[in-house]
Amino acid sequence: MKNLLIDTSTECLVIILSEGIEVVDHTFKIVKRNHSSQLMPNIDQLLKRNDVDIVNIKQIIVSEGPGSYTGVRIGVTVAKTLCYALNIPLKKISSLKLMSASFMNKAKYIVPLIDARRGNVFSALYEVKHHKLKPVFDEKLYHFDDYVKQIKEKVKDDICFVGMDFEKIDYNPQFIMNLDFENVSNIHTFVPSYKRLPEAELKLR
Amino acid sequence: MKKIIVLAVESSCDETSVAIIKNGKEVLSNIVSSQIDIHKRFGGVVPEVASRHHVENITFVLDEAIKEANIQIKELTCIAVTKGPGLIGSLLIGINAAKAFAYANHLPIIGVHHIAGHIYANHLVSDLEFPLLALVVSGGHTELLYMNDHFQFETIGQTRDDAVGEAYDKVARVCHLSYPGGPEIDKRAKNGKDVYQLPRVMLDQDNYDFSFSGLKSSVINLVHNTKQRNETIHIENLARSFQESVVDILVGKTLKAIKEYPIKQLLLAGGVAANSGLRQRLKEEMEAYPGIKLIIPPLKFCTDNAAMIGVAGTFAYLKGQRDDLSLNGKASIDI
Repeated sequence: MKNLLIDTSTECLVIILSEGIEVVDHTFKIVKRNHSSQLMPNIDQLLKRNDVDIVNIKQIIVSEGPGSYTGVRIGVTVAKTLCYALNIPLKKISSLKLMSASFMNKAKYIVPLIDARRGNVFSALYEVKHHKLKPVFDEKLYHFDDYVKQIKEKVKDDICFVGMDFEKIDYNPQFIMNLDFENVSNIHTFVPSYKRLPEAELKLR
Repeated sequence: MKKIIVLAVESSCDETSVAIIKNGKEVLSNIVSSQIDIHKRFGGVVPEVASRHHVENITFVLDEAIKEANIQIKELTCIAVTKGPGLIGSLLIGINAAKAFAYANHLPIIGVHHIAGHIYANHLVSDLEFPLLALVVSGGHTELLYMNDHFQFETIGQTRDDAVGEAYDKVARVCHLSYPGGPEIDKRAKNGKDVYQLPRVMLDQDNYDFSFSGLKSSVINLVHNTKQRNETIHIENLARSFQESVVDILVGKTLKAIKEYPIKQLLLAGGVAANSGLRQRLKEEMEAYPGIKLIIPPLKFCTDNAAMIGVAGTFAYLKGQRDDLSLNGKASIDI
């Protein structure tokens, strides 16, 4: 059964084609803020070079965020629409887990970091247990300076920070496909996990 | 003409819309999910909030449009989508959904200019005949365009600052009227008199451009000064005075253009085309030009909707336009 995984939450575009959970081929590409023009052509290229027609994809997995609002929306919109059009199921994964997966054999603790502007980061603290990511600190928005202090109090060593410089991340597609994906029960109502309200909403409160 | 069925998507501002159009003429479905009530509490459209709602609405609206049209997907000829101008975050939802849907169904994708859509909404009322002039008035646009054939657009005049609908919203806000301001002011203008002497900016100038920021400032100053003198503003009279000024400017510039361009049709398009003062005055003035047909779309095709994108998309398809999967949205883009 062929699956397609899509992540557009950071400046790196991630697309993985798999047979079951076995990776067949993948695309990792720094596209900065150009997911809108890059996502569909890259899906097409990946499928074409593997002789796969989109109608043969039986499941889609999408990164639900957090991350770039616009980026996540593009991936989620494409995933929702493809699943609707092809009448296939959708699964989701946190962008922070997806970033961390490739580093599971590098350290006991992993901290993925996505810039959320004005001294904030979207992050979590994971402990690697039996090749799974167990959250020690929840996935949410943190003020960077306070957050670093919290982490230092909790974990002394064997820790790996991931992110910010996406060109240097050495993604491991198989480790990504080994993650536990969550079912999306209703494609229509599915929305990104933004982890922060829009500014205008915050001002009203 | 071979049967052409276009599925169209529009998401340039705060309306998520999908329509299915047959032969550029027949609206098989036109689903519009409006966010007006959501943005009311902010006093205007908040782009990030609008984008979030588009993601939430898009496949619902798509599904409803297909069901209502009662067609098979294999009957579709192509997918058309608004490529701009508009709010970039909003545009990208419609564009990426349209591309994904086209790709999953092996259909061609065509990007349509939002203003072309507004103009082609008139084709649903009466076949376009060239040459023609179109007055496009909305929350984001105020333009006079000349066309001598399908998809031959020449912008002969445009606003140099605020769009007319934007001026309506701002004036409504200083008068403590709710968003969107156009219908509120239009309603009150009916019971008012043109007693406040507001300027007719640029009306005497020898061009077809518009300016509404000076008029808007005049209203704000008037409200402010009246308050300073401890007097109260007569809202109905202010609404009427403002609307008279707007209509004088829009109709005045349009009539000036009619004298220079020999045309067969005059089209009114865009959300402000719903304004009763503007509709009435244009109808009255055009009685002096029996050789020119005035076309005004019904209200549901004046405000943002995907049906108009489907009509424009049909003609773009016939002209041979095809875009590829890299089709992207642009906040501002020439027609």
